[in-house]
Amino acid sequence: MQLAFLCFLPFLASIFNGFWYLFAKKPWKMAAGVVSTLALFTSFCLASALAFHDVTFSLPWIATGSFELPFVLRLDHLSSIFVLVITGVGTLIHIYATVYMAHDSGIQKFFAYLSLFCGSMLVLVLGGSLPILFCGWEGVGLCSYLLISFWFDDSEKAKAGAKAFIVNRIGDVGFLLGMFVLFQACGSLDIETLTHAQLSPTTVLIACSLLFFACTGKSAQIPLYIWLPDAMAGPTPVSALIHAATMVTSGVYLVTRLHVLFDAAESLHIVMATVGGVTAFVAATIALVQDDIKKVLAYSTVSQLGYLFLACGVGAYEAAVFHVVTHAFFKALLFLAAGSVIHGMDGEQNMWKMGGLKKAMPVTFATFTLGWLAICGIPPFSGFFSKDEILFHTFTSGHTGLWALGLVTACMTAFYMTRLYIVTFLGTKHTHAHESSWGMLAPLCVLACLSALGGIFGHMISHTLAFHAEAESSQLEWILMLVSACIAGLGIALAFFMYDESRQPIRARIQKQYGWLSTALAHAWYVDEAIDLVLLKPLRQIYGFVWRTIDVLCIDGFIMLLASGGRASGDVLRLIQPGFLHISIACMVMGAFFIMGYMVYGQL
Amino acid sequence: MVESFAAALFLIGLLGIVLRRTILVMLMSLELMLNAVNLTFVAFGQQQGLLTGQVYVFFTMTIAAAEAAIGLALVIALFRTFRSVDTHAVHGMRE
Amino acid sequence: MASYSSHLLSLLVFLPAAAAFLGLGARGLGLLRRDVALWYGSLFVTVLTFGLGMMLSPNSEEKYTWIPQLGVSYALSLDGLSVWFVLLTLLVMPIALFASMHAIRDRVAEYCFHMLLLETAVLGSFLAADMFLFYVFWEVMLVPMLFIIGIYGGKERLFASMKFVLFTFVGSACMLVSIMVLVYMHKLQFGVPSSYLPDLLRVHGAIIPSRLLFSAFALAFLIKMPCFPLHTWLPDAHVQAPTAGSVILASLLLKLGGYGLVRIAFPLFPEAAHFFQPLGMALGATAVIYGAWVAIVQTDMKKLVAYSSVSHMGAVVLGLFALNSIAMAGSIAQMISHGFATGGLFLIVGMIYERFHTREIAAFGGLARSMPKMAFFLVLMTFASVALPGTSGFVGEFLILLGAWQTMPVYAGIAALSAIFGAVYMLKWIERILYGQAKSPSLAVDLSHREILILLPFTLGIFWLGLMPGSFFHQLEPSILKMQFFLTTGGYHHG
Repeated sequence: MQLAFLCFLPFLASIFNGFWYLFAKKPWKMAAGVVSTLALFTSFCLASALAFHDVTFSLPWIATGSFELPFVLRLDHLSSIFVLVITGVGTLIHIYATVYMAHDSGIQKFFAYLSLFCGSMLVLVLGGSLPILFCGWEGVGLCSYLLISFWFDDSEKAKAGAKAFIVNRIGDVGFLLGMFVLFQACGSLDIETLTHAQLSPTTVLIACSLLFFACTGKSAQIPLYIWLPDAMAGPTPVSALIHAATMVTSGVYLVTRLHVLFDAAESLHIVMATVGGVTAFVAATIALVQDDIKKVLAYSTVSQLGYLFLACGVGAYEAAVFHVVTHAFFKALLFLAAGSVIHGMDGEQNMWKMGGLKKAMPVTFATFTLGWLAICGIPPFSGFFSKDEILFHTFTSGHTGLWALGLVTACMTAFYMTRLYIVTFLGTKHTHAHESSWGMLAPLCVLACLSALGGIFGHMISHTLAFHAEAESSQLEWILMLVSACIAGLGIALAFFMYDESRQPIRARIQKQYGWLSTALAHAWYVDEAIDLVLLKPLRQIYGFVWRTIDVLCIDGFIMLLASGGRASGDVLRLIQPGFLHISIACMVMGAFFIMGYMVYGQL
Repeated sequence: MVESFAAALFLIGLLGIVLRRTILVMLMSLELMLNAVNLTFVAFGQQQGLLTGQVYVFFTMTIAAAEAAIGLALVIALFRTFRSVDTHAVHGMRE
Repeated sequence: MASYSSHLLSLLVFLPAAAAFLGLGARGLGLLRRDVALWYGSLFVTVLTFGLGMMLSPNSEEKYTWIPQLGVSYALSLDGLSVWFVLLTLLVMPIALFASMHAIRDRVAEYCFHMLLLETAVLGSFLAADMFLFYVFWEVMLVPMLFIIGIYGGKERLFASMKFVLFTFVGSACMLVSIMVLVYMHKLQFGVPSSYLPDLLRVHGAIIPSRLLFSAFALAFLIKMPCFPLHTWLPDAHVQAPTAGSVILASLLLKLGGYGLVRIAFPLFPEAAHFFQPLGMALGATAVIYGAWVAIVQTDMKKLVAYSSVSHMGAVVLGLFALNSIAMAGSIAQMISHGFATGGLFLIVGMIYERFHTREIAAFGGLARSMPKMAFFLVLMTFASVALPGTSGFVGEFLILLGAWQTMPVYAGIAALSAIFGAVYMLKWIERILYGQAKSPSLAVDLSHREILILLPFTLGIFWLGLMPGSFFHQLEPSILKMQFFLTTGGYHHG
């Protein structure tokens, strides 16, 4: 029962805020944020109380004939971790957002959407059967649409929301089809039943491939990652919550939840790992030349998500979950700090216009530093442990090529994050930016502590999840740890070298020589343009063609042909009519005589 | 004998409808035809000793009366449209 | 109470018609001179009928002999299948009347007359258990609709109403021939003609004729649904019809096609149903994608929603022809959901038209800023259309696709793509009109209390069917089981 409360409290807050927005626009709008925060915090408390117990909640939902689909929520070790992250990090972001959005006229609407999102995410994570998970899956898609296009007076922002929803929907088709395949093979969509069912390898492979395709949509992998950078059009707390901490991890959650099935789909492993690795690499390359703070962070998110799928592909599910947790901490921190910077700079997002914010925004600077160190993978911060574990498992499972790719990506990650750090905070340019209020800084501090100390969660996570037997800590592991740390350090050193103020001429020379590369990267390898050319333009032609040719020309044309045929034949036939009354009468009389004569003649 | 008289009446009525140009006269000829039929029914009924013929006459007379009423109403409507009671003037049907 | 309830069905069906004639007569006699009296009188009658409908118990039946020489009986029956359609009708009619109060200004008496007559015809169609009676109500339904579109509609209303009537009529004519053949076959096999549906279910026939008869029935019902490629009457009819006419057309009349297939065509000819299954599912899947693609390029809002109707009813056809219980339950849920969601969309489009007097999408912008309440309802109805979980659309679509996948995965897979394309046209539409800069801000007045009241029942319906469909499926179950019995064992033909 408490599980139901945990899950539904955010929905209640959402409905409350929604009604408030639509029907009673009173002052004290900021209270909308308080309502949502309290709801989510209560969920967090409930989650902490229930954590790591096995709790189930079930309501009848759809039942027709022999097919039953109850609304089942199930809490176990895996979902506990995710629920704690969602509610915990979510509460911090709610507190931040209450202050950040305080002056927005639609604040109640914002928190209605935000609570709706948290509720859907909880349904996703707690769902005990695939359709329930799918309900949460679509729900978070809806909320990301609503929240990305929150400032909809700008049609660009509105289009970004639509792009996110539609690309997610493409993945959802894969989810639906995967569900159908599983249902046909197994007769049930309950997750417990599925994990214990005996399914043929082909079925599992097909279903898992389809589900993985859905994950590429939600968790922004190649080929469906294109919505995430555009999604930065939304307010920064949205980017932090949805695109760093929660929604984008849904794909990883799905894989981990069904890890029994995914383990059985042998051929999919290398695909998943490769997709993850390549995504991580490509996204990191794009992040190298971005000028907008949020875009850098967006591509870095795509990159880190690539690491997650790399981990899942090699079977290191615990490492993936660990990295989800640490990523939630430091990425949320980075986004919120970026939001603080943008707030302090009165809306400026281009990092080249910033600089020297170290003095103007000390707390933001300190927290951002911790987040920066974490994401670069510097020991002993949390990011180091989680990323290293992924790379370790990649290496030990024999995928040395992918390991090398991951290492290079780590180097690039360190490089571009340091670049961001230097250009934004170091140097001496601006000093008139103002520090944010404590409402925004407090969550930053908490997240900074978590990013710094989060490494200790790793052991706990792999202990509770216990998917595979724990390996002994070997010498190889220490060597690889050293390698990772050195690579990260190398990246940082390179960035410091390149972006020191005195190196401007070197940078200019490199820019001139490799200008074509940096333009390509700045345009994200022209992927959006390519898709528009190859897919969208022809599709639009097809739609127009179907409408004009098939509907108007063929079908309607055929009907009109029948109609005009009828009219034409009527025009011809009416010529038979004499039109004169007396002639008609004469014909009638003659006809009568003929008939009578025929009958009389027949009698004779 | 009555039957042949009735047949002759019928023929006169028929010729009246076919050959006359005035609508009103055509209606009168129609009435003549109907009454000839009535006479035939009664004559054959009398010949066979049944009352069936006279029963049918009731039906026919009713129908004739109703039809006369409608016919006259149509003539009036026709006159209002075509301003003439000459059948040769009524020729809208072809177009 | 038994004799009383046995007449409740007839009372339900004919009360609106009686009120219609009374109202018209009263107006003719000069009694109800003010339009307001007629509006509220008709509204009262429809609400009263709704109240009567709530007193119904499923599995009631009423049967009297009507024309013994032809075997025609006057038979009305209510079971778990028709109860939801009847309730939908009873809900939609008062809303449609209430919604047209401000829109229809002259010839109000005839309008109320036509609406009430339409209610009788639709209720009669859903409740009729005798084929002849069903046919009578089916045809009667066309006349008030013809007048509603033809008198109170837009510029090309005469063309649209003629197209609608002639299209439907072609199908109905084929259906009539089939009915007559069936009655005759019953006479041959059992000595007496009968057009009572349970009697006709006992008729057995050879394969080829039964396929032909099924095709005739299916033609009539698929035209009504409408299914690609027989759908082209719908966009014209919707665009030219007044708002209430569109709502009734979308929410009620389209359901008759699906209902007819489930109630009449499939049980009578199970072998033919199986034979035509690939074709039916192919048509359904094609209609889903076709409707979505054409909707993407529309510039008139009502045409866009009309083509979305084509898409949704294509999914219904897909589900019905899958011939398994999951897909059938899903189809019926989808039909009811479509009644709510698309009815609501037409109501909102009507409200927009009343303010701006244009339906061109390009003429709008920034409405979410000035009309937040309308934006809320519009987004809700849109996402219910797109089958968002939590709304009724998901329940229907999911079950249809799940069931269809069991039979023919290819078509189910194609239809699943509607998730993408549905989102494309819906989002494109609402993004154009709700977001961006406002184009005519002075005309954008938000919803009045009356309009919110009109939209509320559909909203509640969407959430009811989406979150708590338990009672819905519970009532439906016996009918679905009976359907399965007919389809799998061939019904009484081999028993």
